[in-house]
Amino acid sequence: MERVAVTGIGVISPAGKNKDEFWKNCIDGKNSVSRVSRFDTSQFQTNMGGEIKQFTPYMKNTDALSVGLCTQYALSAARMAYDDAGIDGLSSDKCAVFMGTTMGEGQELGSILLGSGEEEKRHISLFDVYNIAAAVCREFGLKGEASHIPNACSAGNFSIISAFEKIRSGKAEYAFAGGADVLSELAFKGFSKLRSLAPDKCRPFDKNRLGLIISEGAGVLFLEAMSSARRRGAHIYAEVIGWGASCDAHHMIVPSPDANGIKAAIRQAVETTGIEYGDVDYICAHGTGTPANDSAEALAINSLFGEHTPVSSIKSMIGHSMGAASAIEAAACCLAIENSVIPPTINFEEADEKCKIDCVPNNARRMRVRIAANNAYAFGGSNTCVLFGEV
Amino acid sequence: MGPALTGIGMISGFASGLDELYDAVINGKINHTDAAVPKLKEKGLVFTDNITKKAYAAIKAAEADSGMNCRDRDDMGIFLGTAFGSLASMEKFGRAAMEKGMKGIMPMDFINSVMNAPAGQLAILCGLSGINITVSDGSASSVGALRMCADMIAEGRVSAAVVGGIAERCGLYDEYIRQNGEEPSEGVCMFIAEDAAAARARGAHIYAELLGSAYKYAEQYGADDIFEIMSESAKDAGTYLKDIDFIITCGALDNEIKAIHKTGIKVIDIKDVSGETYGAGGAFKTAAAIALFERNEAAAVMVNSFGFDGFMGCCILKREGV
Repeated sequence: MERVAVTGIGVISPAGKNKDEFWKNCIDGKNSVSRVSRFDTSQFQTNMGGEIKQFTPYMKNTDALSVGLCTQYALSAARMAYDDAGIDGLSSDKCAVFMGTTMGEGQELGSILLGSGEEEKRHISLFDVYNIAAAVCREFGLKGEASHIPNACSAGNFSIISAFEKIRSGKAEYAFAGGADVLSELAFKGFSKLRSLAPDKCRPFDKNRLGLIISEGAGVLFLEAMSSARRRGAHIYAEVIGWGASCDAHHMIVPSPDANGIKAAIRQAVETTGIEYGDVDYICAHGTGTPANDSAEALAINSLFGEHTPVSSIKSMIGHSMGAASAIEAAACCLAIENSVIPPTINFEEADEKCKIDCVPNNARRMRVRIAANNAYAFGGSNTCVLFGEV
Repeated sequence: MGPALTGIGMISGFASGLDELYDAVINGKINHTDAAVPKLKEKGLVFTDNITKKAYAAIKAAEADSGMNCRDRDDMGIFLGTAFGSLASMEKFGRAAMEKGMKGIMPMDFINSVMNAPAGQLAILCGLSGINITVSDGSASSVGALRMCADMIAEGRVSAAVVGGIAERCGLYDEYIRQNGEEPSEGVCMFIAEDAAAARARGAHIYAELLGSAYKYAEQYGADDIFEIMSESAKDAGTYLKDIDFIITCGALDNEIKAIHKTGIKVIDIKDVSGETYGAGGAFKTAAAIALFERNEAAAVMVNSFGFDGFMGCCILKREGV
């Protein structure tokens, strides 16, 4: 079986419109959430969101009028990951594409449903509202295996899992794997109706946490067969070493309080990879800032890893970018391994008895990261844990 | 060796079981079966939408058919092929949200509008605590789901799974399908899939074994591309095109017909009776293959799922005992 290297990273996020800016702001513990300007938020519980401002798409073969903002984020992140990998030309049938989302072009969909006429100007088909993987294939002229996995908040991880398995089995030599979502009025209304939005800040694992902050962006990893990466002398950030997945089968938006589903995903990742729990130096949490998620996740982490494995939530800084979240967080895992530094959980003021973990409060921590675990959980309790290892 | 399909359930306007599907596809006799939302008593269904209710009923039928209880396994997965998730729910939620604002929407309307909501709801209703994946690749969605399911069973990540496809008509769906020159249709078709050796060990009736598949996206594709993917599928299945008895096709695609002519394999087109079931099409074609197997009219069948969106899925099924 082939090993799978991460040789390129592309990130579009409120913390930065490229990987380096994103990472610097994460390590600095910058709160990148701001007042939403894209639509009127006066009727919602909050006016705060992880809105990406002054975005210029970075696409070479796609007309910006033919795709919505979610796809522009995805394509830009994919281009950046490709550039970052430093690869000279891709064989069109040896590169797989796995991308995911929660709502796709939510903002465009709103226009389509209202019949505002905007969609006519932009010529976006219903298919392209929902399918980002096809757009990535078109941007790069690819004709290999591709799939769109709209697994909501675990979409990025599932894309990475799918790409990992294809490369590992020799069915692809490279792959784009990631996720994207846009901060749309529809999403804002939906999450607001669920009463899951925090009024001002996302405070993962804090005793006074009140919910999540909706965000947007895209994260794309360029994955490559290790033999290919070594042969061409590629820079390797990290290696995808394993994964686990499960489903709570409990509730659509609330994790099972016994955390058994989350534990099952983590256990599967660790046991199938053949590592020890103590080998994991960093856990990039799902850490949404909701009372239910954080206590369930902390329970699972504490019971399997103990209290001392560093855990942090990127969402404290950039909000919850839905389908992009676990892909952006995967990027953070790779960068943590590469740079031997763990990003913080910011906005942490008071410890919660129900969250007995080391959440790396407020300040980044310099330490070697041999293995990082990326947790992501979606609507319906679809749980994932992807492991990245140093090379 | 691929997974075995040991249970089937379907709801559509053209067939609600293998016999009716066979009658419709082979004999051209559509019995206009009841595609309405079934009346179900389970409490948890009150918050689900129509497509999820139909899928649930189909899964329960497949479960009973297979002699398996999904809740008995702690690693039973679900792999659901759907082009748009519950687009009807998104229409309902989206219109209410945009036209009436916060007061016009209910929390479950938003939850049901998310593309992976049906898979999530079905996991809760059926006790499916293994891997939960939604595959959304347009016309190839169901074959994509079957392929992913096969890979995960082969890897030992799940010992069994619910797998299939769903499609539901609504304003946006109908408009999109018609813009692409097809007649919109809908339905749900679900299977129980499990490790073939384990299925045999428990004495399950095996409808088919999924031998292999091939899958890709191509913005433009011609007959050569189609022939190539069919050949790749045969290679993946460890067989040859000449050993395929039938190809169940995607309708009147000129390129597909040209590619199939090279092979000399007989063709069955179910779209004449089913209409364009889009994301669920591959699942209904798989069921049609099984209908042939049950009558010993074929030993190996290829299912082609290509369409106007660029996704191409091709899989090969074998009759048990051949």
